[in-house]
Amino acid sequence: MTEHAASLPDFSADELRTLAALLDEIVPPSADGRLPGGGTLVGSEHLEATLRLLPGLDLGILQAVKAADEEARKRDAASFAALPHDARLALLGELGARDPGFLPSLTFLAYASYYQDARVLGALGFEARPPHPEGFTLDDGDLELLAPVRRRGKLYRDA
Amino acid sequence: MSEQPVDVLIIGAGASGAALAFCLAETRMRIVCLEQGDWVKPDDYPGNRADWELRRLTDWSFSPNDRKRAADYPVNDADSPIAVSNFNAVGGSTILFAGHFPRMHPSDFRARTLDGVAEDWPLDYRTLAPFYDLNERMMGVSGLAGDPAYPSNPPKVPPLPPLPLGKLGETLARGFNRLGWHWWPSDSAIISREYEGRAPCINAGTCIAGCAQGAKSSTDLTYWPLALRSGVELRTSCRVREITVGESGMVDGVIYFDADGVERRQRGEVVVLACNGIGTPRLLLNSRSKHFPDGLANRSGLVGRNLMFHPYAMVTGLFDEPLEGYKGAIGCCIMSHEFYETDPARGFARGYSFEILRGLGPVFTAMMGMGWGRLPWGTEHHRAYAEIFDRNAGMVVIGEDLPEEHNTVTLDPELTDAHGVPAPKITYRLGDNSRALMAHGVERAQEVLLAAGARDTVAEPLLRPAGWHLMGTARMGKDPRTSVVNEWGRCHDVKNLFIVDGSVFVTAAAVNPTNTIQALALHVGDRIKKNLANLFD
Repeated sequence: MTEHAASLPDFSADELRTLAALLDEIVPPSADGRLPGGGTLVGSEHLEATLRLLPGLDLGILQAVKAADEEARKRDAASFAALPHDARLALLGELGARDPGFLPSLTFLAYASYYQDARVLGALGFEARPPHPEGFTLDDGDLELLAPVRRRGKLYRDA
Repeated sequence: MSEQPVDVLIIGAGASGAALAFCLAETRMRIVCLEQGDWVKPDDYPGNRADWELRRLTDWSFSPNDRKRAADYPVNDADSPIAVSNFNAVGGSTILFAGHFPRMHPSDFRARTLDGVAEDWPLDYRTLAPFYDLNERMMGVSGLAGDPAYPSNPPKVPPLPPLPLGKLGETLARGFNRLGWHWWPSDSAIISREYEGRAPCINAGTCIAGCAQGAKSSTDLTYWPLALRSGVELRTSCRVREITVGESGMVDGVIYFDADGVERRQRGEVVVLACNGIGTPRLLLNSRSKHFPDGLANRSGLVGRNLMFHPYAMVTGLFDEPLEGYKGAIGCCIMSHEFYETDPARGFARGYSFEILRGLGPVFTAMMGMGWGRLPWGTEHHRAYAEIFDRNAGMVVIGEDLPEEHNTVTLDPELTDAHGVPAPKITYRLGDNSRALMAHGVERAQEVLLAAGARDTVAEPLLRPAGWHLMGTARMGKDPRTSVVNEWGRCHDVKNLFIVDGSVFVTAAAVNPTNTIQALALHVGDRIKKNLANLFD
């Protein structure tokens, strides 16, 4: 988490830790270490921008965080973040089965934010910049490929 | 407050309103256009920012119901499998269109005569051809002459060379060739070279979130600067509430809300509707009077009926090799009209076209992958993402919808816009012919993707957020009992009221309609100019 985390006003510090743990399960760090886990998004501008752009998503996420912590406490853990990986997975499966909106909300937030992140894009070999004003270069392609189409002749009907 | 009367009052500054304003400007008549949206500044487009893909789902969404901008009006489309898409601004929906810019075929104007379905248009391809030519020069169209899907006489010669095929386009072209099927570089309302002071496309791929480069030919960049220089007045953020009718039964102006929400009146000798296939019937139905208790120009009862969309299916191929699909104009790669014309052996009338799309950016790859069920969360996520990112190529099947009177635009009894004006309600069912046609198209799309080397395909048989093309709700014809406007856009019931948008389409064809909408607007403008002395006879 970064110092920016405090700008998610409706989330307590504990809830932000849980959110980070949830996002790390949705998008774990890659085995080779090139790609960060989704939890590193907490406090990032991209996650906050996603929440800001989609009104109501923050409430859904906060409910998901609270539900995860509540279930964790039933299992004698201080919070979802305190659970071991296997227990987290089991709990996510249970919550997902109980609430059809639980996993889609978390997954949407994770994916929409994660794939804007410069570290992620760089690791994928994608330039981390807006498309404009630089744009991209693209090959014109081989228009000789049209030769068989030209040979076929007229396709339209006279009318 | 009443303002000085004008000669021509155009409602709507989108594709057709802009073309008509330009066309009539040379007459030196006093022309005013009222547009409910505003100018879009190039800096505002999301392509300038890292979050541009996400903003396609929010404030730059196709859907006015998601966007909820001040310029938008809500649309109740709950009773339709296809949701309405539009944009309200100077340039209208050309701000967000993909720029795929084909013409209709000659046979599209003769569906009844050739295939025994729908109705014939009261004009033909040859009549529209010079207006297609003019429109393609004015808009700046990139493409390649010689397409055998179109007549060679008169020839169709785009003013600019085609946009790049790229690796993705070449890959798909080889697939079409393996099957012996037609394909051709798309006619694109995106400039491939510098043109009329505008800089060319840089393959940013943001077209459907707006073009910050200004290479996409939205009418705020093409027709409007010329129309304004010629003296046309364009008033933005002005929403028309109703068209008013004088004692004679002719229209005499409109009542509108200005940018401050103040109700104003503008009188006009001629009123032209250019509000699209939803906005136009909405305004006519909201303009009831003692002369027209069922809505203006609606003695036929056909205003708002025969709504046609183009049903869209999307089929995506998943490839092993990178395709550079995130580069380039998303809707302007190659197209195919192999299954465009009727073949009775297929079991349906009319046909469809294929439009090859580019691939997806990083965020939309994740979103679509999630939707396809191909992108799990958890430990398999990175492997699955690597299999689809830059390794997908989409194509859409664009089917010809037939006009059916039960598909309608009416007024919602409760929903209103921010000014309290009743909002449109859509009631729409996909017909049996369209279902058969789309199923055929999805199967053929899968075939061509596999022939191009895809290892797998994913099909979405009917895209809901694809109601871009809004047609048929005030159709043209020679008989006032079966049509709303005549062959040059003049309402049968009101001789100083014209319609120039997609409402007047008799049939939908199987191609994107904007080029035809604008050619029709130029045709109507030409007829108005030629008949000025006896316009109301």
